Amino acid sequence: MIRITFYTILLLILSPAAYSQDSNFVAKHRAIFFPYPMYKEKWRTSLGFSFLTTPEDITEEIRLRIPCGEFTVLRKISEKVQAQGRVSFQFLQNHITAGVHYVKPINKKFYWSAGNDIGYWFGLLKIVEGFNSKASGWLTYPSVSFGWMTRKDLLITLKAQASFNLYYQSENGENKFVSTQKYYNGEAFTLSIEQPFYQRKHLLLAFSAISNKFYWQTWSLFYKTNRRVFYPQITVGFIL
Amino acid sequence: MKNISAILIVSLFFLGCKKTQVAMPDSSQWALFRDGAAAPLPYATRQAMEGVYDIAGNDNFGSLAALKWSYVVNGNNDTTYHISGFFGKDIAYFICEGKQLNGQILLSGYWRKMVSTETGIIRFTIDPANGATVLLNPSPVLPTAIILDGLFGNGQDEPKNSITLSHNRPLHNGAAPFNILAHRGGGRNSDLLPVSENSVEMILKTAELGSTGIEIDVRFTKDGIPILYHDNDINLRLTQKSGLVGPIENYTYAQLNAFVRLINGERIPTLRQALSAALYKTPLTFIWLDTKYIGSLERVQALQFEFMELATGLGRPLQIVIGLPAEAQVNMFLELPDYNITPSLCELSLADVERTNSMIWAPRFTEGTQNENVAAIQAQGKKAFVWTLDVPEFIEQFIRDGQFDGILSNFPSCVAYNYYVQQ
Repeated sequence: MIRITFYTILLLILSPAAYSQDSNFVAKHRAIFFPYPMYKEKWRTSLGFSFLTTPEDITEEIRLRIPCGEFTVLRKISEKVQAQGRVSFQFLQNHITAGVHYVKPINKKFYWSAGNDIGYWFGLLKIVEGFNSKASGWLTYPSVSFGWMTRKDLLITLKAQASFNLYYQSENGENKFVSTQKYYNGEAFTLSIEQPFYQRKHLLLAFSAISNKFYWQTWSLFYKTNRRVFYPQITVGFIL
Repeated sequence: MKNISAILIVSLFFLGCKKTQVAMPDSSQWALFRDGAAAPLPYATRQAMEGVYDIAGNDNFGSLAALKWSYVVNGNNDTTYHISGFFGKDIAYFICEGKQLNGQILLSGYWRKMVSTETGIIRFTIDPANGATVLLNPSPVLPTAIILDGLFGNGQDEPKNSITLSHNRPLHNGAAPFNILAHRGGGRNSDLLPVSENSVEMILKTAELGSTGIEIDVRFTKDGIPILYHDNDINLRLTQKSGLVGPIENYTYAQLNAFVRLINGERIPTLRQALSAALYKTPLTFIWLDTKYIGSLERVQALQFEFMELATGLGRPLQIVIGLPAEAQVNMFLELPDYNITPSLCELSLADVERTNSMIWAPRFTEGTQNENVAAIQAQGKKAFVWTLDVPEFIEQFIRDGQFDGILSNFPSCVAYNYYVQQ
């Protein structure tokens, strides 16, 4: 088993550098999740929204299903190295990530990438009477993605992402506490599909299974524990 | 690839849907503790054992523990006493029963961390030379050195990890009684306690968790019986599968009693059953009736007065207040006869406290300690509680820096720890 894993990794590293740049790719597949090198393009962007379902056994009758706006941008650094930025916005709570990812073809059908993002989130709850709260925090998200380019212009990506909490700060009125405890927060698995659907517009649809101790969208709802909480999330994006 | 993705998604779905549970350890297997010659501990011994203890030998629970006894009345002449240890780390606590055998004091029970699902068996012995001789004296002379030699394990494992508690000082006791109030009768279902929220069983357990009072949620059945239930609907968060769905107010009490069981198997209690349990079977001194419905409060008020009179007759300190969480409940309250002399707790503004003549102001914790407002309320001879405070760091701050007379929490053991260890 160890030997197979070793050869698999070796194969990935030594696989042909590129199956030449696919000049049709950009026209056919303006992908965001799919780990494809940026040969000629400099930018890829998408705008969309996500829906997170909060766990009923913890949030009880408060079912948070507020859509969260998602803006993602990829910037070419070199053919196989991309900078990624994402802003997730719900106005009262927002999350920004930025990171660098290495992208590499395995063959004409399969691609992979690995990278890390740093995330900052902040929330503010002062508009409702009885609330004078704000909180913020830092996390880091190492991830690896595998992409499969099907014959029917459909790009399927499986992304595994871990998260580590680096910093947490919470304030209620004049009371404040800061935690610099660094800990493994959990992981998320995302299955995304990206496809042209209408007049060369490209759509992405992603299903995420998130298992975290802390999730930034729930900072105001309940106290974080060491227990994992499961959050399903759907993301819809329009690739610009 | 398709197959792998499908398997992964299905696996994640089932893993995500799997409910976390805490298997409470069976602590009744200690042969020494089960010895027929082992006898209950006298009142004076129990009282003398309470205090703040230094922890040595293990860093699993922090550096200090606050030990306090509680009781639950099981029936005529049958009362069980528990000693609870409240720790400063991970909202941990232990709950033990105590006995004496051959000059030793034995404590047997379990520990739990509320931030996780960790639990296990815990046992202590106090040898004659470590304070048992003094403690078992009919009139224990304090202060004395008390050392609890303990072992604890994980889950159902035989306890093997050592822990030593050494008596440091008495529990903090402020000038005025401090109310440690437990949410939902003692705690939420999501915190995986062995009994259900808003059940009689939870009310009987809550003093073990450090509570001196409770908040319970009151609704009405279709036939007008006040019951304890939090949510609008019958659902699987609170109840086992029953076939009944929709608003709980659509069903009579007989229907609910026959067909619905709470998540850990208990029946939905009537308010009368809950008040009776609190009055006759626990040391609780405060009950906050959180009104979860829109309608007349007269039946609740009648039960409130009835049980306060019963408590007075027993010489038992017990305050029962009607909670006023929103304007709708305030309006219903103001329609009550004698509302002006009906004990109530108002969660709204200071002006609303005055309008309703509430004896307690209870703001949400999200506005901070508000020491000026708290002082203003206390200057009127009223009290101020804060709710629902669950973050340990904020509990510590509110106790250290705030002036509140009580804290409502889902983690009363954490409030108890931070209150009792104050110097």
